[in-house]
Amino acid sequence: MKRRHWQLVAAAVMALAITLACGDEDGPTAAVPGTLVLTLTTPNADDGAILFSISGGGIDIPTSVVASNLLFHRLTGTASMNAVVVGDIAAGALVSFEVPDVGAAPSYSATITEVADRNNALRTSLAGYSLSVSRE
Amino acid sequence: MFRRLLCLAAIVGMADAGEALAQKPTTKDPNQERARLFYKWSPSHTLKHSPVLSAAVVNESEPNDGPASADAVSLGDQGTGDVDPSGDIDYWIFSAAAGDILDIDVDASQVGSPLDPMLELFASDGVTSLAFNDDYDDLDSRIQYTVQAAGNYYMAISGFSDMGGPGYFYSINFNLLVCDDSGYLETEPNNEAGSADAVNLGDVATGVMCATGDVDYWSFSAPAGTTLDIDVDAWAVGSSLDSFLELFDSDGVTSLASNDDFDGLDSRIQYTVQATGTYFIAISDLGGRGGPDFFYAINFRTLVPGPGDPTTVFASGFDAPAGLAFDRAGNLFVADLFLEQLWRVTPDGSASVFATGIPGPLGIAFDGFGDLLVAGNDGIVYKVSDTGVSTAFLTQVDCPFWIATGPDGSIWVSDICADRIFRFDAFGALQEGFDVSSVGGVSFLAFSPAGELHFSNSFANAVFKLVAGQPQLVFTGDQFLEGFAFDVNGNLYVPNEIRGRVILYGADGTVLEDPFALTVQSPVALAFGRDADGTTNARLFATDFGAGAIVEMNPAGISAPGWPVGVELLVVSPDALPDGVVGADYTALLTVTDQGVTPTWSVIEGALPPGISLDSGTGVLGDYPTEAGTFAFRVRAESGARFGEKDYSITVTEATLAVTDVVNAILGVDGVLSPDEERYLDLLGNSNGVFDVGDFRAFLEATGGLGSAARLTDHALMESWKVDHGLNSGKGAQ
Repeated sequence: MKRRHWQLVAAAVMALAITLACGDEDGPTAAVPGTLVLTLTTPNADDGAILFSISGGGIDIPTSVVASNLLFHRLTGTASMNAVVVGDIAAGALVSFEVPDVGAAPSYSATITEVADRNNALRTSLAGYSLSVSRE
Repeated sequence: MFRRLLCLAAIVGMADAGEALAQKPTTKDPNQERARLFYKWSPSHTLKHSPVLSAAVVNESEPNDGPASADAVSLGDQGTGDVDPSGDIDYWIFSAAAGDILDIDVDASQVGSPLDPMLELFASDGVTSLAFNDDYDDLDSRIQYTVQAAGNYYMAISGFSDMGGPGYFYSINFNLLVCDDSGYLETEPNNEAGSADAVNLGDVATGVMCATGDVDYWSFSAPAGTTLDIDVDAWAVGSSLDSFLELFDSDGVTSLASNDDFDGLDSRIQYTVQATGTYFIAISDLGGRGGPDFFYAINFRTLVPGPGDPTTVFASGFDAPAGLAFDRAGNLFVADLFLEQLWRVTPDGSASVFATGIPGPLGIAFDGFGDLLVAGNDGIVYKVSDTGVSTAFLTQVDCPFWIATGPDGSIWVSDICADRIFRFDAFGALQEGFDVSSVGGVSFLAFSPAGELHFSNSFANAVFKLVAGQPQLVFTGDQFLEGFAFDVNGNLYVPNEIRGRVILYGADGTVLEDPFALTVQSPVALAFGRDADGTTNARLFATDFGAGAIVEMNPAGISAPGWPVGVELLVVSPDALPDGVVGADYTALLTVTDQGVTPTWSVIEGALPPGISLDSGTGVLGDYPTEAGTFAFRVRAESGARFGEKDYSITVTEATLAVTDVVNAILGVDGVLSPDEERYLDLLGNSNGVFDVGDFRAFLEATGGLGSAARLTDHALMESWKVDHGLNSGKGAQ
């Protein structure tokens, strides 16, 4: 009888431990692959090309959100990519890309390097421009 | 010579020659002309003058269609009749004594008859034709004939082209001429040198050509060096004589000079005798006609030599020297018209054949590059290499006659058929033609020190200059103002082939020296000599067409050097320039082949490719082109008074870039584009001096990547663009 009691106690403790370990607040969570989106903020309505870089791990399969825009990209390292989008660019979702864990979205960032208007003139100032990263 | 040249133009069948020549002075076949010079006078008879009036009127009696049935008349009678029916021939018979001068004169058309008569004189056998005439007084016929032997003679009268019929009447006067020389200084017989009438220099001789074939000889003595001026007055004072004058040497046979027309139809010979002796002048009617109204006077004068006398023979052995020109080394080149040769005469006067095969070479000139140009009478201006090889150069001129090279290197050619002057650029491209028919066409050409083209008209009796494309009279003068030359002061030395002299005119046409030189037989063209260094000097040379020689004027009489003929252009090199690429560095070097010359460079026509510059001091073409296209331009090199020009064309193409390279470059791959290529892309885009995303966008536009039609296709391609970092660290690849 005594032996059975301890077995039950041990099982109960284990169950509690498991319960605690798998809880939302304090327990470890699994990576969730998914898509992140770069959203453009621009002070102009006639942007024609934008050159930018993305930082973050495991960036893959970038895609132009606007089908009529052209996207070219190049991995520059394990956690960086250069890309250029050409077209009639407007504020809003610009590019989507795959990441291994959408939960890590805050760790991704994008930096605009150059912007040209639709007459191919280079913007002399990038004030007011930004690219934000968010989950799709 | 000038007339002969025109005739030659006709002989070779130039397209418009016939029409043009109709406006030119009377032309003669050169062979006929030469034959005439060596024509020997046949003796004739002592002549008296004034006709004998008719003694009786004899009406024809048909049939009289042959010698056997001829109607008889006596000299002095008048026969009358009709040429009826068509094809009728009336024969008349008369007797004449040896030496009689017959003057058988028909009146028909001139008195209202429809008959256009023809006359033929037959010998005593009734068959042998002695003389024939169709038209003398308009349509009416007349025969003058000196009877050689006593006997009966027959005169046949008929209608031209067998015309005849009722009302075709005529009268025929059988006159006998007798000569009466009492009113003249001549004393017949004087029909040969042995019976010449003697005169002295300074005298005026008078005479009359009583009958056909008459010729009068005059003899006179002249010391060596005397320049004769034997001047006929006949046509100018109302005589019917169309005089022909010939000067013979002391043997009475050797012809020294001759002339047909000088003052209108009147003849004149100017000639410098080489030896003291007796000389002979023969005068006749050009057509062998005669009559009491064929009277004349001959002035036996002498001329005072000019400052250019005495001339000396510089080179000889030519046949018919025409155009002449000196090269920059001082060698003289001469066109020999009839032998169809080009001669080269060295500064020491040694002549050798330089080139052959150019038909009828006339005017010659050196172009701005030192090449010899020759006007052939086959309608082609030839370029002759320094080894004597000729090639057709200009073919747009119907009848090229004379050539002049302008101070800008342009080439000017006179067209004696089209009465036009053509201007070509230094390279032979036709620029413009100037119609000068309003002033009687064009013959000889030369540029003045003011750079104005001067030319004589086709009659060679006036000199014009071309001002704003229009002829402007400079002066008029004697006929046969031929290949003239300017001195540095703008004075013109003008040869007169017919008068056998060189005349010096001022720039305004004022006669400064006439003669400037007399001791030249028939000068056609003049040229100032050049020293071995190319400097035009104060030695003046003439082609003496008649003497077949090059003669030099007395240099002591020449007050100023000649104005340099043409121009010596700097020769610009290279022959062609490399093509370029937009944005790519471009370098080429222009040079001149003349040693020691550092010219200033400029573009004078057209334009360099945008972006390309020419360093005016070094001749370097540099920088980089900014636009594609083909750009033609002319560069000019100037060094002091000398210059050269050359036409170039540079084709600039767009750069050929791989899309992958451009994409990689914009995405940060270093070294995939050269600086030239990045510059090209920048020029394609916003030209701000760097390759940026705007330029990248422009590239896509230019290559169709942004085109609506291409987009769908390219989109898939572009979207699939991916450069794997680990595999493509260099230029990258898909």
